[in-house]
Amino acid sequence: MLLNAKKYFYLLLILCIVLLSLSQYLRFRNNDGFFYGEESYYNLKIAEFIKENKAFPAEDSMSYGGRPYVGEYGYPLLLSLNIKIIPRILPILLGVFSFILFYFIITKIKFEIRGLASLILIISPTFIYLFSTLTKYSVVVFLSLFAILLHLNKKHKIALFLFIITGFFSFISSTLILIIYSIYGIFKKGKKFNLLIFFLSWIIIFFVQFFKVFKIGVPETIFGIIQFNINNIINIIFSDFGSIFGFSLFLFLMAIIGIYYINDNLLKTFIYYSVLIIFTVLTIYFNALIFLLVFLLAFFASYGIYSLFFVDWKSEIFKHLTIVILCCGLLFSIVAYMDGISKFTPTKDFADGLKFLKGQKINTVVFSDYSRGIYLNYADKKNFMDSNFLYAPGVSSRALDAERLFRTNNLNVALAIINKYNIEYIWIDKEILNKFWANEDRELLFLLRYSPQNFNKVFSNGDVEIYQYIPLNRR
Amino acid sequence: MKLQIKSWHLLLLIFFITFAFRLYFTFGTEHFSSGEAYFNLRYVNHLLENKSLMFYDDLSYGGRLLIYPPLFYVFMSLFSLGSVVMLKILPELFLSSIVFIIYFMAKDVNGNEYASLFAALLSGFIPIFLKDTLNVISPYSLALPILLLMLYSSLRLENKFYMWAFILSSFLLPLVHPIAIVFVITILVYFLLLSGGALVPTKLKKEAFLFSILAILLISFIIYKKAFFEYGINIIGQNIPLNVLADQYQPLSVSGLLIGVGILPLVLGCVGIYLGIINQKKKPVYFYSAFTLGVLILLSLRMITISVGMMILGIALCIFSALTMGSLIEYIKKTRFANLNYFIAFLLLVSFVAFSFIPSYTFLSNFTSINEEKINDIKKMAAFVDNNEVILGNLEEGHLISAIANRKNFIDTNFLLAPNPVKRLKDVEVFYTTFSEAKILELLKKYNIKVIYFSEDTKQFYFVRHLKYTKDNKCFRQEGNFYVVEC
Repeated sequence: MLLNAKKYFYLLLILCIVLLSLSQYLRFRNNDGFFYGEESYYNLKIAEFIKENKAFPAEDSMSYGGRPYVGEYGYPLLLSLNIKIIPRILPILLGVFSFILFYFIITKIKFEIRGLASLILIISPTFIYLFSTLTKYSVVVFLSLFAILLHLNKKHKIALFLFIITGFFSFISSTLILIIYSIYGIFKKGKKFNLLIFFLSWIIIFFVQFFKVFKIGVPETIFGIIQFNINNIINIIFSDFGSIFGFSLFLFLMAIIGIYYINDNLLKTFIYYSVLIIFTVLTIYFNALIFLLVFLLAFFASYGIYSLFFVDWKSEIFKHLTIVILCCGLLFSIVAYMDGISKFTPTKDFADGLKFLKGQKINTVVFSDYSRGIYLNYADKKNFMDSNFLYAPGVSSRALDAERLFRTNNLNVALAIINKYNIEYIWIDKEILNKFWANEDRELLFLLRYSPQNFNKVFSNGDVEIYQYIPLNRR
Repeated sequence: MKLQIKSWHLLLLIFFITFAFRLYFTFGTEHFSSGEAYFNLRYVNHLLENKSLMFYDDLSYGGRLLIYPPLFYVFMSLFSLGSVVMLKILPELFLSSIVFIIYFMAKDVNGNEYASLFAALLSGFIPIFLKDTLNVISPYSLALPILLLMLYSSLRLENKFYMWAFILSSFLLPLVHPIAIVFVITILVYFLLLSGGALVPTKLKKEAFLFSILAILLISFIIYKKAFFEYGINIIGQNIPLNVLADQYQPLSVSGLLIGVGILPLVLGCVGIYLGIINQKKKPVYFYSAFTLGVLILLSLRMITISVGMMILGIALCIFSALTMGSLIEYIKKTRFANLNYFIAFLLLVSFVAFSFIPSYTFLSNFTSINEEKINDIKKMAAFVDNNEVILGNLEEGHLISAIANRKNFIDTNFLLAPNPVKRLKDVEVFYTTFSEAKILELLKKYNIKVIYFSEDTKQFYFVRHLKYTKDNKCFRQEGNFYVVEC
């Protein structure tokens, strides 16, 4: 029933490989093979450093004009083993294995929905993103799924080991796993020792990777400068609203239905909904939660469809129509997402802009919105700000100066900020034009376009404009 | 639903009065009443000529992508075959048919036939409804009857006919107009009202509502996919420039309601809602109250324009006015004035004539369509511009330029996915108000503008009498109300 026969497993496996390969193929065909999403470029940059220097970076001189490197070593290290081949193969491999692991986990938990849940998972935009780009969370997800499966098969020690090593890939995810493991350990007898080992290992991993935070002290900000509002949450969590790693709105709705049916106890349902809402809201600060959430949502959503299928309906017509619409909704999301893959940043024109920058003098400072910072680093340029806010030096004052520079109509103010940070290039692209000036010639854009004695447009194509600042002594 | 012959006659009479009233004003002028009508006319003609929908408009904003729900245009093409007379009659026919649905809805909340007939009569003469829907080709003409039919069917799902009507409407409504969101909000508010425990929705209703919400969401996502990707949840703002947005999405005011909805529907409707919620624990009362509240919520969240909101609010209040009337009739029956039935009916008719019919008539008598001079100007302009050049007009004239002159416009009111509407709107202001020739020449070149249309409306809107930079300037040759660019 509902894709549970063994032959469907192979069909789903083929579908999984096809979808993951297709996303890479689309980027190759339309974007010269540039990965989408900034995290890939961050990891590639660190991996390149490790490969060249045979050591982990102590500081990141390109970010915020120089800052201590505070991050996990696992994923960049993995990529650095072969910087050309591994980034192309590893995500697909991890995706396929994660799918297989998920399939077997669901087989153990709820046999009836294993096929359906796996199908819903692999046609989710979040799954495609997770295993088409270079994100450390792909390894975390794979290790966690493997550990859960081992745990279900009573192989607790190996499971614990896998849980522990997730800390080398994403410490926040590892912390979340530790919390869940602790809650589980409190309710299950005989797990206290494992919990203690997990906790001690967690501390050791923290010290190994982040010992320098004791020298640096408390970070200026944890959540950065992201604004908390409903619009932002919706735009981040739902792929249908343009998020590159969000899940389908229909997946979310189906999961809500699934949770409703999975519990007869009102209190439990309420708790499930509350947890879902809290996790969803928190994704605005911890985007990675989406990658863990999608597996849960796939499970609940498939249970939702399964229940809708087998529960007594007053009208068979409404039953069939509702199920068909839900399935069409899921299909629509993945088709729309695949269609949009080649339009995600960096596009071909965007990549050309980066290539141009890469050809310019190394280590010069490029000013742009923080969302462009990591890409600019990838072009061997120092960024003014990037989206890695943790332990960034002077993040608040830089954010303030960035806002002043973007919004100023006064050339003297603009030049003062530019000189203060030794900015040499200013990067503007379509998204920035829209975000700050609604495509109007005003504020900084006006100054850039109509002050040729101060700014020289050195690059321009359909998407990107790059201006070079001409200092007083070179005019 | 069996009606007494007498009621049928009266209902038909109300329909014919409404229809005739609308046709009288519609055919009182040769042209349509708004630029929007011409914009829709172009889509219908394109569909008839090319046998395909228009997804790229060469003429709007000098060329841009389009997204819109296509069903209305398909429907109008099929039933009008491009005849302007039919394109004038069909929307009026659909909008007049609303009186039937309002009658049945009013009967749902009240049961009294005469009160329901009165509600139907009121609904045909809501001032803002007449103003915004008369003599225009507008998707609202099809969307509003479908929305009301869907609401009415929602309460009769046990009947196969209404169930299929509901299913069909759930698919059709989002394909006609995004106003389908009103139904989704109505359902959510309805369940919120019922959560008090006064009434329990049937299982069938829950199933039907789940289905319709999902169907509306899916179809809307499919239609507006590009816009959702482009704007995210900010699609609600429809890419409308802020000053236009502030104009279209004004806050609701009592005076605005009195003028737009009319005194009778407003007073009787509000009292009806109060009586319904307090005295009558009936599902139709709760459901139509949810409809009214839903519209108010959408208005307060600025998700629908003030004119559309008031239009729907007016219709919703008409339904409840039947409840007030019914209660009044019941009350009088219990008093010693019970034998004054005919006098009361006469009084009601007089009040209808005084507070609804005459204001609507007076309002529409002063209501003008696009004037002949403007149409002639636009036709004349076409001769000076080739297919790749642009005619500059004010925001409201954009659709007219495209439809009548068949030339590229600089800006029009279809903002969704339009290229740089905010900037263009500001540039229009620059064109009409600046004195800097250099700036104008730069903009003319940038946008490839060949003709600047300087209509009376533009003069009034921007408070200008002359285009300063054209004075003694060989680059501009005046031809009546427009200037041809010659350098």
